[in-house]
Amino acid sequence: MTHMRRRLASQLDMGRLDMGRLDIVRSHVVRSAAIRSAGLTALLVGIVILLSGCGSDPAPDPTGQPSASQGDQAQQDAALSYRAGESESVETVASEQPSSPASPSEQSATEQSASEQAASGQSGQRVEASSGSAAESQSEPEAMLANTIAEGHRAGLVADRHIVGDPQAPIVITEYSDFL
Amino acid sequence: MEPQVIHEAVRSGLARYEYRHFIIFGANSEYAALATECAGDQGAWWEFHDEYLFEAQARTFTRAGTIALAEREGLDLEQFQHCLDTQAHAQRLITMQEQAIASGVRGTPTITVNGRIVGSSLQSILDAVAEASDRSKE
Repeated sequence: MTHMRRRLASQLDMGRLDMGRLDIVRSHVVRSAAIRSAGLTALLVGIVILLSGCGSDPAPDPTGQPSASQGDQAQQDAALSYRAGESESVETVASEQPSSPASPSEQSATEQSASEQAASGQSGQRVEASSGSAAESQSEPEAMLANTIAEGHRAGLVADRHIVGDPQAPIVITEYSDFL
Repeated sequence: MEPQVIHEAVRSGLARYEYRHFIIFGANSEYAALATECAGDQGAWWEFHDEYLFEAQARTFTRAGTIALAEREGLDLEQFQHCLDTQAHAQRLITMQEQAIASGVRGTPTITVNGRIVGSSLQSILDAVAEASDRSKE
C-alpha cells in the first residue's frame, strides 16, 4: 500500500511536472502562434505593398523588350518632345529611325515613340494632313504657273518676254521682283 | 504670287501680268536679269525666269551656270554669250529700275494693279483687280 501511494505520488509528481511542461509548451506554442501570426501579417502587408507597387509601374512593353531604366525613360521623353516639336508624322518618324538602333534604350525609345504616336492617332493624322497640304501648296503653284505659261504660249497669250496674258487686257498687274 | 494671280485673273482675259526686274541684291541679281533678257531674245525669257526664281542654285548665277542653262534650253550659245558680254540689255534694266522707283517701288516683291501699289497677298491683288474691273465698267 505504501509502495502504491509512493508510486501514485510519484506519478502525480511526474504529472505535475508534465502538466508544468505542458504549460510551458502551451505558452511557447501560443507565443509561436502569435509570432507566426505577426509574421504572416507582415508578410501579407509586404505582399500588398509589393502588389500595389507593381500596379503603379509603367505598362509593360508590348513588344517584350526589356523595360527602360529611368535614365532611358528620360531619354524617351526628350526624344518624344523633340519629335513633337518637329511636328513629324508617324510615318516620317518611323522612316527616319535607323534600322539597327545603337542601343536597346534607343530601340525602346523608338518603339515607344511609334506606339505612343500611333496610339495618339488623331494628332498624327492631323500632322500628316497638314504636311500633305503644305507640300501641295508648294508644288501646286509652280505646276499651275508652268501650265498657264504653256497654255499661254499655245494660245498666243504671251505677248512679250515678261508679259503673260492678253496685251489688250484692261487691267495690268505688275510685279517688281528680284531673282535672288 | 504670280501663279495664283495668273490662274485667277489672267486666264480669264481680265488682266495681264507683267514681271519687271527690280534689282536690289547686287551683281548676281543683275547678271541673272541680264541673262534672262538675253534668253528672251531667243524666246526663252520665261524658262530663265522660272529657273532663276524657282529652281536656281548658287551655281546658276555664275557665268558657267548661266551658259549651261542656255545650252540646256537649246539656245544659240554664241548669240547668247555675245548678248551677255556686251550687256546688251543693260539700258533696259536701268530704265525699268528708274520707272519702278518713280512709281514708289522700294522693295521686292511689290505689286501694282494699274499702277497702284497693293498688298502682296493673293486676296489683296484679287480685290484690287475686282475694284479696277468695276471701275473700268463705270
